Amino acid sequence: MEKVVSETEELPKAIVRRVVKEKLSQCSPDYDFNVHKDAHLAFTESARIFIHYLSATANDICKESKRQTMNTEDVFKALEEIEFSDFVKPLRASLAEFRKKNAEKKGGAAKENEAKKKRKIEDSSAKNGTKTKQKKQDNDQEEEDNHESE
Amino acid sequence: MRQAGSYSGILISGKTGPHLLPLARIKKIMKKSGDGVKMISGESPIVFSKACEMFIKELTQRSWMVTMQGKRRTLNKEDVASAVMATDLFDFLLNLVSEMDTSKSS
Repeated sequence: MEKVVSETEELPKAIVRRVVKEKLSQCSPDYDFNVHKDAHLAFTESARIFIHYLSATANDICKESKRQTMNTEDVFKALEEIEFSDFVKPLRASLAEFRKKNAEKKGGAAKENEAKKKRKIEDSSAKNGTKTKQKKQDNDQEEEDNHESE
Repeated sequence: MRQAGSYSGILISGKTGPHLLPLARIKKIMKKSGDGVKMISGESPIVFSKACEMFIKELTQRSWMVTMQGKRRTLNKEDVASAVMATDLFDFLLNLVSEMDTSKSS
């Protein structure tokens, strides 16, 4: 009997498939490989269990430190604990890269927002009316989008 | 083939960034991991996503080695099972392997 796991609880099959194929094309540069459908299911399910396992371990570590929110350090410690310490260095590098990119983007967006606000103030002091209202709505929408990205 | 789905998360829309797997989905799975996984920092799913990708690659490589040992070019689930059993690191997957075995005999 196969366990039925709802789709929303699983990792997207297409993405898992892509990761598997990418790896196999490295292992077998002449692209002479095939993957049975059942094997893909096994990979997807294994990945889900890995997340569970890592999560539970990181959560225990977090609780031991008497904190409520699991953070990335908990995750790195958990990886060491479950003997995946080889992953830690590349993951730290990946996280650092992400933080850098995100900081750059936020910086850029903040500057743009400030410039827009300045223009809005200048406009509204120059004239009153529906045009200003429209600009305010646009700005609010942008602020909402920026908040979402956090 | 492009993935059309939306990637909710921290990056501004348009770029998926260094992660492939959808952060919201990862968060959901994490929260089902057991007692008290309630609050997760914004960056944790990103580390999970990348760790997961690395894990899949590791499992794929080891499974493929089994396939090649059998002089085959099609990776099947028995190869995955063999790789799990041959690797101490994958002991946490042994339950899954025994479930796969059960479905084989049905």
